[in-house]
Amino acid sequence: MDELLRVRDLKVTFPGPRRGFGPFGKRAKVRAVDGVDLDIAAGRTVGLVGESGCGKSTLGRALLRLSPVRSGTIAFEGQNLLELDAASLRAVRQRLQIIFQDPYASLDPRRSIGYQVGEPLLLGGMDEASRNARVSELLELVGLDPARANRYPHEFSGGQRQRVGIARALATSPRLIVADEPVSALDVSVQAQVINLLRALRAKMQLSMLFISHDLRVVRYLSDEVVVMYLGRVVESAPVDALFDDPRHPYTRALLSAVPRARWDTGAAEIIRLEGEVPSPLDLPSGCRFASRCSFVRAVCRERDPVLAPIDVGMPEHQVACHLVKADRGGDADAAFEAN
Amino acid sequence: MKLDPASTHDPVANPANLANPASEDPPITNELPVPTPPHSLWGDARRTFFRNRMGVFGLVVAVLVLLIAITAPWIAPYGYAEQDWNAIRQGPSAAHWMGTDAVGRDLFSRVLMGIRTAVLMGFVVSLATVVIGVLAGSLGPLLGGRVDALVVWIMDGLLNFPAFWLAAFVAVITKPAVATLAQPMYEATGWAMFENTLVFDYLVVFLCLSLVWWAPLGRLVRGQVLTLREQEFILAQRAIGASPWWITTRHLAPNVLGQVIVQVSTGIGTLMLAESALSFLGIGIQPPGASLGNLIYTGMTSWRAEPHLVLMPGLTLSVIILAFVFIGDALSDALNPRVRDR
Amino acid sequence: MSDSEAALLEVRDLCVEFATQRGTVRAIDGLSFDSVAGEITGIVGESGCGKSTTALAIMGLLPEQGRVTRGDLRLQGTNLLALSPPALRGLRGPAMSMVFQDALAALDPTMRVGRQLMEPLTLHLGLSRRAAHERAIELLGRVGIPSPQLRVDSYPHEFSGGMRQRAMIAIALACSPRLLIADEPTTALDVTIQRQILELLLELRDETGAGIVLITHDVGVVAETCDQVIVMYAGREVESGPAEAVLTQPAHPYTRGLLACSLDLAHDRDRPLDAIPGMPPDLLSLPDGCPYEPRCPDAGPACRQMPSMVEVSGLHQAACWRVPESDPAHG
Repeated sequence: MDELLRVRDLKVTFPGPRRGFGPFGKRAKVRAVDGVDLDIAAGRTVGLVGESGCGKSTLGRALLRLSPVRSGTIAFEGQNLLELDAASLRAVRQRLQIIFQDPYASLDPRRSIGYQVGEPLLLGGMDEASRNARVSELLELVGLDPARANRYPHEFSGGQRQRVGIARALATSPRLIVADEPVSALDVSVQAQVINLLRALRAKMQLSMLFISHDLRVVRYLSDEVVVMYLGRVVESAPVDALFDDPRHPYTRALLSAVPRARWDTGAAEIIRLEGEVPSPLDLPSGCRFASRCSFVRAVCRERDPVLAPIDVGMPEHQVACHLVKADRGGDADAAFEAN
Repeated sequence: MKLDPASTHDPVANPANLANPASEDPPITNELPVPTPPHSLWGDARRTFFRNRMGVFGLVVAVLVLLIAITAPWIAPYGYAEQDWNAIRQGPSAAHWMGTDAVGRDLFSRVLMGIRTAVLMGFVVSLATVVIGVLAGSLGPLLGGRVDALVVWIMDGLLNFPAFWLAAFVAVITKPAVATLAQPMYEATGWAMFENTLVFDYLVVFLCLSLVWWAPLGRLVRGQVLTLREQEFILAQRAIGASPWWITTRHLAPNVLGQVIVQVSTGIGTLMLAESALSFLGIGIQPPGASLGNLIYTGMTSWRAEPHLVLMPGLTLSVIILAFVFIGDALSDALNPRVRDR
Repeated sequence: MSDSEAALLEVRDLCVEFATQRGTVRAIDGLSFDSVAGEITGIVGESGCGKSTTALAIMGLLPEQGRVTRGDLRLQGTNLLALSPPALRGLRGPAMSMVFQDALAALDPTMRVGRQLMEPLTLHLGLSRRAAHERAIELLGRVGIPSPQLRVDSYPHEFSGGMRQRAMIAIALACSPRLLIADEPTTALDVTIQRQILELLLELRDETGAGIVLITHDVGVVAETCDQVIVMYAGREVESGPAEAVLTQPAHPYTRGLLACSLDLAHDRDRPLDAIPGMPPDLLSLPDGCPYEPRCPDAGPACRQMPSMVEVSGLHQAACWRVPESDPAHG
């Protein structure tokens, strides 16, 4: 498969709060992303789901070098982004863009939207006339009136501002867009409009997307493949239908059952209730990180960290990091573990 | 984690800012949008400012004061140092609108010069504080590490002392130093100004106030830069490949400017007061130089017999400071980011 | 809305206006509904529809610029609008209480959670400090906070989002109110925590028999928890009735539009969403007739006059001229 993006063993750490006395205390490290592999093929959309603190936003930002990467590789179009110098990186940014969650904070309140949509082109050295033409083109593409290019962000609604953000991301005709919760802050009806817009643009401009969201419903609608994260690790990854029809990891199943469903919908699957809260990323338990909340926890789960592995030899794309799933395949958990 | 979409349109959160209906998708248009010119936040701020009567009043007075300051030597009926021994200690009259002081100098002319001093000090020192404060406040977070630590250490150090007394202290210390430098400087350059003690006075006041007064502004700028730096629109800039210099000049600076303007305009009043206080204490501008502060000081000794010697400069100073305070308040309202952004 | 039990909360023709720089905004226009003890009444709508304002109006917590200009608000028969401020204050806590969306903002960051919990207990129930402390620990345990005897002395920022929300629910329930208003209580929370909180609310309803008014923008939440639902748009009630009826057989075009664009786990991935065209209305420049008319696919000349609520079937009503003609079974 032609892979546009190949991420291997990515680790992103943040300095946490200091422990000990004042300026002499050691800082604990928050392992926001702790060894993640991710692949995005050309023209495909990968959905990245998880709850707060799982590291999905950090991962998305790391792809654009907006988060501090500690180790790992990010290969985009064959080049390792982490080894590029500033000039080459700037060139690559033209083909790899990001859309942010907050339509109010992601635009400079003191500059016109036309300026902001055209800024990537300005940075790339395009002359004014071509820039203006392209900005008009982009605004129309996202459903905004080009005549309003000289207006300021606060004159637009949330949905419109998000469209401006999308236009800005598309300015340099990127191949891959990281969409970091682009519709989470919008009203339902506006959300639907922007989702439709993203779908249409994706088809028209043959974009690949990393769609980051906590809302499984939207992820399912837009993605070809889905990756589920928990506390900095991938716990399950599969093609979208496989994930939603046959979720294997207990966390994925809990996430799915947490989606509100109608009382009168009798066909709904069982509800898995999660007890407790997400453990602090500073105090990661040994063994499986999900063990403290898992209803299927066994002794082995607290001893060893499960590795991401296919659920079946014939289904390499559906991978799970869980001791119990491997045990399902016949043979005991240890043998399966050794085999990997 | 999730933004509340209700805060945008919800009149409870913000009654003043409801989005204008306009076409979202080309085929559906609500009504033809009335063509209004785009209004930037600066435009909004300007309109709000002019709606504030106190602010406008302050602005009018300030402009007047500025004009007086510029034209003082020409509009003053007498020289500010001109002594007329035939007319000492006179009350206000047709010849001397504000009367004369103990050595026969026309008070009105001296007050005019005093205004000039106040304005000079206020604006020049403000400029200096802006330059130093903005540089220090933004370089710290941008360069980070030890530079930042140093800047913070200096700022915090300055902020720990009462600014005025620190300035006074600096003034007292530097005056003799400046004085001793005068002779060699004159010999080196031959410039007449080095012989003029008045110039030293101004220089010393300027120095001591500038060195001390920038700290609050620096702290404000630093706070703003630190907050803005984390905002998504700055991240977006990095994502499209903008250099730190680009981001600072094109995006950080305009957004910090609002608060800086407010701080400076409210600060001008305090600066003028500080200068007057220094002169009052005998540390700043000394006679024959005219500062509203030293006019009040010299007038204090005979306030019972000649109240006008204290009243006139005192009232003038009060009016000027009030005017700038009004401007500062009105600007603060107009530029308040919370109301503007949503 | 059932006539066998007296309604706990009766809202009749409520109108709330806000004075703004650009004119008077009618945030709520003619809202009427009943909330019954032991039932969850959902109010659903998008930004600017007036749902949060409704909650504040009921609690008497409207900001300075807001006023109730018309209408009746009765809690167990008592006219809330006729009460003096001290009397209204007396009701907040023992008779009615509110849970806000952002627990971090709604809790005092400088006061321990236990003390905040004790405040309504000592204020309204007159409990001694010791008794209040005991009860506070009990309440924290009841809402599912682990180790409540330790947590009672924590500060809000030491709690996670879900726990803070539970703490806020505990404070709201401290004096066993008959009416609990929850304004988007789970919007800011992770989906697994959301489930926990919603289930907690359901349990508490069963245990205490209180009536709950749940305000949300998520129709899925309504479908899961609410007995009856009111759909609001531009400050008006456009549809109301038993939740199942309204959500499976929506009669108002806005409800239909809202349901059509709300994604669920079964939506066909190859079809674009049936998004509602246009934008939420500007409350300052509402059209004379039905506020939904500019975006409505079924709009007609009659829509220039504001429709009133007509019965669709039984307690299910909608404010649309098309109701008598349209087949309620199609949705």
